[in-house]
Formats: sequence, C-alpha cells, structure tokens
Amino acid sequence: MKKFLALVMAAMMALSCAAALAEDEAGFPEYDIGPEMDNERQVEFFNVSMVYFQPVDMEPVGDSLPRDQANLHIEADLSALENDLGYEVGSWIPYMQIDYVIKNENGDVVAEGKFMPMAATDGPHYGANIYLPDAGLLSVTLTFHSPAENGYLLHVDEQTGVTGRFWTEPVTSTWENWEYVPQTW
Amino acid sequence: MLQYFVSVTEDLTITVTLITLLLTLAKRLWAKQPYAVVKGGVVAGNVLSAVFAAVKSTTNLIDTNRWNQYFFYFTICISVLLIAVLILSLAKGRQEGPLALSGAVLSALLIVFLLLYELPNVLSNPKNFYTAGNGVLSVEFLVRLVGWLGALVLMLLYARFLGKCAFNIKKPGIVLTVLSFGLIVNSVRDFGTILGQWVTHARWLKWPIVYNRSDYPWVFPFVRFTANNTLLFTLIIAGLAVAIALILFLQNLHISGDYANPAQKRKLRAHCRHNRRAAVMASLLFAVSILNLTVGYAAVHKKVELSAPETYTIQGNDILIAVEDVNDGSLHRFEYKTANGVQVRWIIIQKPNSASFGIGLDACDVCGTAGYYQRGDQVVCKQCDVVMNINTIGFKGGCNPIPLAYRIESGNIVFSLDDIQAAETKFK
Repeated sequence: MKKFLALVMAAMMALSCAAALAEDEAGFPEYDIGPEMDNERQVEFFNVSMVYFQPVDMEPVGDSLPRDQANLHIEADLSALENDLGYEVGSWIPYMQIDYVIKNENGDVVAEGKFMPMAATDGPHYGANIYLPDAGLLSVTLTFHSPAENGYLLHVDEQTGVTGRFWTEPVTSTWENWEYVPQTW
Repeated sequence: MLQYFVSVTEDLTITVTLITLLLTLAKRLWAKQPYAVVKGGVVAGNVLSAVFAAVKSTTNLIDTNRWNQYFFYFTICISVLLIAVLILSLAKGRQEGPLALSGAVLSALLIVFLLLYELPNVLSNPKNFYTAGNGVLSVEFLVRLVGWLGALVLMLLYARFLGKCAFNIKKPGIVLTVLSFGLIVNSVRDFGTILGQWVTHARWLKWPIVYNRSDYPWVFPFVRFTANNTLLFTLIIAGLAVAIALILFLQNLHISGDYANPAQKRKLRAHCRHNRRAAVMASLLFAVSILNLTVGYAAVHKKVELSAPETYTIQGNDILIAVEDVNDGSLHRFEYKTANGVQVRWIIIQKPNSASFGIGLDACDVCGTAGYYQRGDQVVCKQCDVVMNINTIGFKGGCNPIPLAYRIESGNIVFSLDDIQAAETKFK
C-alpha cells in the first residue's frame, strides 16, 4: 500500500511539473477591457489599449495600492499614430497625466485616481494597482491631460519645429460595458 | 493581521469543510487500505500545493487562471462520479474491493484538486508580508504572520472538531447527504468561474464559440452571481456541515443504549459529553469563521477617510499655527492651495513625552500622497498600513512623512509659504 501511495504521489507531482514546463503561454496573462475585446481606440493622435492583469510590485508605490491590497493592475498602453508632433509611429507618449474613473451599472464610482507612468518588461505605460472586489458591468472613463500641462515643450522654430500643437483641454474617452469578473492570479 | 486572518479563512473554509467530510466518510465507509489512499490524497495535495506555490512565487511558468480551469474540469467530473460511488458504497456496505478502491482514488484526486485550487495562494501569502521595505523582523511582518498562522490554526481546529462530529454522528447517510450537496454547490461555483474566463475573453481559452452578451444573456448574470457570493457559498456549504454538529449535539443530550453497570453508564455519559463538546467547538469555530468573513472583511475593507484640514493664519510669507492648538498629542492636518491649484497637505503631532513636534508633508516618497491617519495613539500610513514611529516623524526615509522645514517663534509653529509652494511637486 505504501508503494501504491508513493506511486500516486510521484505520478501527480510528475504530471504537474511536466504540465507546468509544457506551458507555452504562461507568464502574465493580460485581459482586455471592453465588450468583445474592443479595447483599443484612437484619442487625439495616439492609440489607447486598455488591459488588466495581476497586481504588481512597483517602486515606489506612489499613489497606487500596494500589491497585497489590490486585485488587479490596470493600464492604458499608448502608442503614437501618424502625427505632426514629432512622435515616431508606435512610440509611447511621455509626460501625460491620465485620470481614471470606474463606475458600476448604477453610476456609483467604484474606483478613481490617476494612472502613473511606469515601465515594465513590455515597455512604458500608464497604470495603477486597484481593488475591484465585485463582478459587474463597469464603465471606465479616462481623462487625458496633454503633455504640455506637465511642462513638455515643442520646438516651434522654422528649422527644427513641429507643426502640430497639443490639445488644450483634457479629453475623455469611456469604455462602456466592461463585463468585469475578479480573477485569481 | 486581520487582512490575512480574513483572506485565509475566505480561501480555505469551503475546501477544509469538504475535505474533512470526505476524509471522515472514507474512514467510516471503507477499510484501512482505501482510507489510506484518501489520506494519501491529502498528503499529495499539500505537497503539490507547496510545489505550485514555490513555482508560482519564483517563476512565470504558471498562469493561475488557466490551471484553475483544468482543476475545475476535474473537480466537477470527479464530484459527480464520487457522489455516485459513495452512494453505492453506503448502500452495499462494502468496505473493500473495486468499488471502495475506486471511491478512494476518486476521493484522493478530488482532495488534490480542491487543495491545488486554494492552497498555493494561501502558501504564497508570506511573500506579501513585505511592505514598504519591511524586513522579516519588522513588527508589520510579524503581525501579518500572526494573522496568517492564526487563520491556519483556526482552520485546523475547525477541521478537527467537524471531523469528530461527522465521525460520531449516528447515521453516515447524513454526512453523505451534506457532502454531496456541498460538492454540488461547489461545482456550481466552479462552473461560474469557468464561464468567467469565457466572459472575459481569456486569450488562452480556445473554445470554438466566442462569447458575446447578446447571444448568451444568461451567462454574465450567472458568472456575476457566483463571483460576488463567496460568502453565500461558504455559508451554505459550511453551514450544512455544521448542521451535522447540531444533530450530533441533539443525539447526545441523553445517553442511549444499554448498560450493565454504573461504570458502563458513566462511560456512555462521558461519550455523550465528549460528542457535545465536539459539536459545540465545531459550531463555535464555524461562527468565528463566519464572523471573520463578515465583520472582519468589512473592517479590512473599510475605507479610511483622512481627517479634515484645520485652520491657520497667513502672515506675510509665513503660515502660523499656534502651538497650543496642536500640542495635545493628536494628529493635526493642514492644507494649502498653491497658485497652480495644487492642494499641499502637511501634518503635525506632538511627540510622546516631549515638547518637540513631528512635522512633515502628508505624503511620503514610497506611498505618494495617500496620507496618514490616527488609529488610537498610532499614526498609520493610509496606503500601506504601516504604523509610524511618532518619534521619527520629521526624519527622512522609508514610509516617513517627507520632512517640511519649520521654526517655532512666539508660541507659533511657522512655515514658509515658499517651502509649502515648493512641495506642490509631491502632490501633483
């Protein structure tokens, strides 16, 4: 009987280890925000992609929640489109401030704050650790402040200047009908 | 401390209840050998969970949601098969043979998958005890460790007494009924979690049908119900299990059975008393768990509001705050709106047994502008819940408030508006 037990245990361990090593898409699985994976949209001259995954450690914690008090890390990935502001297509947009407000179906605010600029292995982005304990149909509204608000300058002379100008008032965009379900990370 | 006491209880109550009932029933229904297989499942589940926790904590190899999905498939299938085998075992009264052995193997596998779903997360908790650079010898780390260990002890005691009740109740059919119902309810919860991955369009999920709300309007409400009612599922499963304790208590109010002499009567009476105690203990520990999941949960997730800023006087380029207004040992908060519209906050607290003050911005370099609040005679960071040493407020470093220059003149604490203005970069 002891041999049988040992065999069962060894088989289970081998099974799990083999399966773990066989994982080809393991790591930090990202989930899209928005109905039917419609998580991307254009704002001003850039694309915004909203995703979330497991809460992460950040240094410093900043205005975000520490990992053990949050249940997801939400981020807005920005990439420049064709523009007359000197940004290479596909590049990140630094110096912005992005405020977020998440509401439930009743219109109650369930989380709000600002996304902070940060870098991860997949590059720079704006994001935050947040705590959303309940599943529900949510809306996420982002308010994009121009880099100019944080002192980002543009060359405007004839020889080196860019022809475009930043937007002067913050612009908002809302992702409606996010069917949010808390995940186990 | 409470955070981990609550989260471990939340994670383990259902699992511990189901495994305890399964183990007890196996002990009552089957001979030593099949029962040993079931116990082997507990050992294997714990070992595998520890391996999982270690791999999860140190590598990116495990996508928990994906793994859980596989565990749920197995859990649901095995639960259905096992209920059938347990009913047959009880009906036929066979303690050994193929039926008992197949039941034991199914039980062992179910225990492994139940543990693999919940236990790795619990075992990984200690890595989260570090906050704001605290070491393993910090008070914060040790307090969290106590909460975590306390919940594990609570679960072990609950399992021990619930197991005693399930073993000593007169009809094993009651245990089987409760266990079957518990497994069905647990499977419903697991099915909701499986569909949750479909609803959220998990990229790894290769189901041939893509979810959309208009075609499957019932799915999201069902997923939401299962996701938002953990407490209800816990109450149903553990509550039913505690019904076993109550039945045992009632069965043992008076001695039953024949006795030939006073010694035998005393023995029977002691047995009844022993059973009643086990029933009371199981019920009490269940009550503590539920209290933990309701009151404790609410306390952990209670939103802390910062106290309102107090008034002060502006004189020329200075801000004046009378010493007598802030020398009571309590935390005082102040706020100034800069020309750029930024609200700069700072705090003042008189240090214990001292005439000096702890003064700094209501922000720190680690946790940003979350601020500090008073809890009893402690000053606590709202963000990371670290308790400040009041005597070091005003000094640089760690989660301490960022120091703010001041001077004391003519009974006032005086701040330069230039310094306050310069601090706006911390609050942007």
